[in-house]
Amino acid sequence: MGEYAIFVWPCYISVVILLAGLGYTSWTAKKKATRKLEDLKHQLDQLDSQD
Amino acid sequence: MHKFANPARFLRISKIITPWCFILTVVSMAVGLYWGLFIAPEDYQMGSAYRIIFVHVPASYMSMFVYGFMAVASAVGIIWKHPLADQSARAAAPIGAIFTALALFTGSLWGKPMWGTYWIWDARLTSELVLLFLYFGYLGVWEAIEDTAKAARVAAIVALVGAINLPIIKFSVDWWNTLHQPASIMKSGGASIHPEMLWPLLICILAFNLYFVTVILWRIENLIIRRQIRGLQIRLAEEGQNHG
Repeated sequence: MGEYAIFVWPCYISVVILLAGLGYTSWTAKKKATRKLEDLKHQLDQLDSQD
Repeated sequence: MHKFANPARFLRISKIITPWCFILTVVSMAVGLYWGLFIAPEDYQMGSAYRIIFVHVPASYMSMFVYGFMAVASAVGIIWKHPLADQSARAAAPIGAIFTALALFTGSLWGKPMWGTYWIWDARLTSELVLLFLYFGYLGVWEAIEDTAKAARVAAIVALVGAINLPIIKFSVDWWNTLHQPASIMKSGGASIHPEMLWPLLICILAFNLYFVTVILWRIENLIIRRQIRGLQIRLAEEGQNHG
């Protein structure tokens, strides 16, 4: 890569870090929301069974 | 098309598609980036600096494609008032903003060795920077307005007005005298890149598209689930009051 490595590598590294970061945060946010939804459904079921 | 816009059906289909899209994204991204970095031959004039195009071109293309997607989804949201269209546009915005930031960053790292400067107020670069601000503005509207329906309407107007910038970006290199080179892939008469360099570029473009599909599906799923959570929270509060 020679003299251009200082320009090429930061491009590839920034692409991998930013895309992986956004992908990871999107996936974990979805997982977290799914867990919360399950918890709420469980709470609602418990309330319904008390009636 | 309307039957896929049903949130429950969308979630079911999305759960089947996303794992496959994710695997394909990882594989194509790994192949494209490795090919671009290590296998593609050096350019006889630009040496290895040209390898930046394997990430710069897909990021630039996707920055415009995602905004176009947002504009279409916003138009659908305004015309048919379908919440899934608004949520799709909202889910796409952060992905588009990241692509635009990457296009500008990698472009500036290309500019230094090729043009002798990281930045110049050239028509292509400036219109791409305007695109980044449009993404920020769009995301800002969603954050600033609490009422979801009102935020969706205002954000949709921002997306539609901002779409005027897309042809400006695309044709800026033809309409004005710019440092940025004209189109070399999507032009009449075919691509002017050697196949040994074109193939890794096409794989990278495919990988960026697959990435977009994967992440937007995750983000739309998240927004739909959050809506369901709000509905359940209201129901729980009402039932809690009845029990109290």
